[in-house]
Amino acid sequence: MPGFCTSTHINKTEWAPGAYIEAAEHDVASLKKQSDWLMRSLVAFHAQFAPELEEFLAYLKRDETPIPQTYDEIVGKKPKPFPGEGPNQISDLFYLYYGQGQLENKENLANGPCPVISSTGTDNGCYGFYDFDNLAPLIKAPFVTVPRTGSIGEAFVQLWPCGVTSDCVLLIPKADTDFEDLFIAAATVRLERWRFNYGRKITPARIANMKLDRAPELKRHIRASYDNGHRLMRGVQVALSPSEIDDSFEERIKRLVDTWRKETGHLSSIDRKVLHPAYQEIISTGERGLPFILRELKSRGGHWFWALRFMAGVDPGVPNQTVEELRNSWLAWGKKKGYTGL
Amino acid sequence: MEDERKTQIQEIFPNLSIAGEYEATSLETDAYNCIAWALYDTQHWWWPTQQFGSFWLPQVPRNNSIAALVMIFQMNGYKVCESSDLEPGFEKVALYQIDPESGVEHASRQLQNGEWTSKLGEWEDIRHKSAQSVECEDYGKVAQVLKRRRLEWD
Repeated sequence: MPGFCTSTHINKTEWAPGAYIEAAEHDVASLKKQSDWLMRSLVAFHAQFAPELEEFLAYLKRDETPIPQTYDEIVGKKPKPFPGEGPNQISDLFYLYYGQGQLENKENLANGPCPVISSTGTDNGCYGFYDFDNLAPLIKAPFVTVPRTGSIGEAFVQLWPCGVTSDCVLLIPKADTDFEDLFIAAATVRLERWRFNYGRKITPARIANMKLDRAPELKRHIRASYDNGHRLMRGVQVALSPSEIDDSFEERIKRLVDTWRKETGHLSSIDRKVLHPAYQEIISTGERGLPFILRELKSRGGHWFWALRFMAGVDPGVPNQTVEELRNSWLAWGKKKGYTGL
Repeated sequence: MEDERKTQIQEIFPNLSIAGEYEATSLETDAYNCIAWALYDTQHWWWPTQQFGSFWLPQVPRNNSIAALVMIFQMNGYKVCESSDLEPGFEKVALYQIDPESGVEHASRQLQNGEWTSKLGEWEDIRHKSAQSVECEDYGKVAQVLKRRRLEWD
């Protein structure tokens, strides 16, 4: 019976339909619905834990706080490719790891400022806030957490540095992975979670080959939903990274960008564009303003290349590139440097 | 075209505030500019600045003087002429300057029906009634007109 029945060779290690039935083609509407749910989960998490997150932010800003590292830096090696790995599969876009074994026994954890993500299906996967400096490092966000026990398969997108227990599999985005892919991967795992249970827990190998639908329409939807969610998160006075917490700074740079676009958008002259006072003031924000301008370059384009060169102190472009090619060079550079939202 | 952009255009281009004087004919893009559009090029941002995504011909001096722009259009078959009026069988372009000492700030191209088309920096392409429609403080006035035989004539 097509769509219901299948025939295949059973191997000795897997005795469950979820191991053999091919993944359905998830329609964009289902994925949108799941990604909307993920966004609401993030916003709700920010609203509910606003005081804790503010305290965490203050902790991150202290000079003595260790800088969060990417998980592949913490682990010290990248996972080997999975058999049958193909384009747009989870393992093509993410490195898959188990979480931090040091955090597994939560009874050893003292209350503190840092979020720990576990296999809980609520609060965006957050089990609580702890002090675990002496046990494990904070993992740099963004990434996806997938519970392999507890609420199996209820994946969440994490935007804050945090600790993650070994009850989860982590999906760490590769350099070319788009921000929207985090939501697509989490949504896809959620739609496929029927395959797993306590007898067949999630492992990196079992989700590595799940195919992701990266349709431009879906990505646009996620981006718009994120922009909206981001505004809501600001409404509870928390932010996504230390560089963004300073509302006055963000408001100031947005105002400068809008002024510059309004007053020079109709000009062809690169010289007049870059000599505009608002553009010069943006340059003066240096590295602090860099994430904003990279995101602005991605979302609305514009001749930011002069400013970026001075703000970043490098020029990833090559001679004779068109505007489009140069934009791609800068966005690739930004992703490689770990700037989010690119 | 969004209302906000219409307001911006009317603030900058006083001649375009008359109803029906212009119409947007594309979406906004930073891929090409007015000089490119006058040359039917939608891939490059023509400007003499070195690097930063700008495009310029190597045999033309790297500045935006009238002489440099005239050279570019002459290399594309244009000759200088006096009037921006429609001449059947010819296609015209207009170059704009704020004052005789400043460089060229804008270029527009005549359509077959005598109307003109301009790419407004990173904003949209528009169709406008005359070469003078887009004269403004930031572009200046029409300083030079060039013409060539229209390659295709209906």
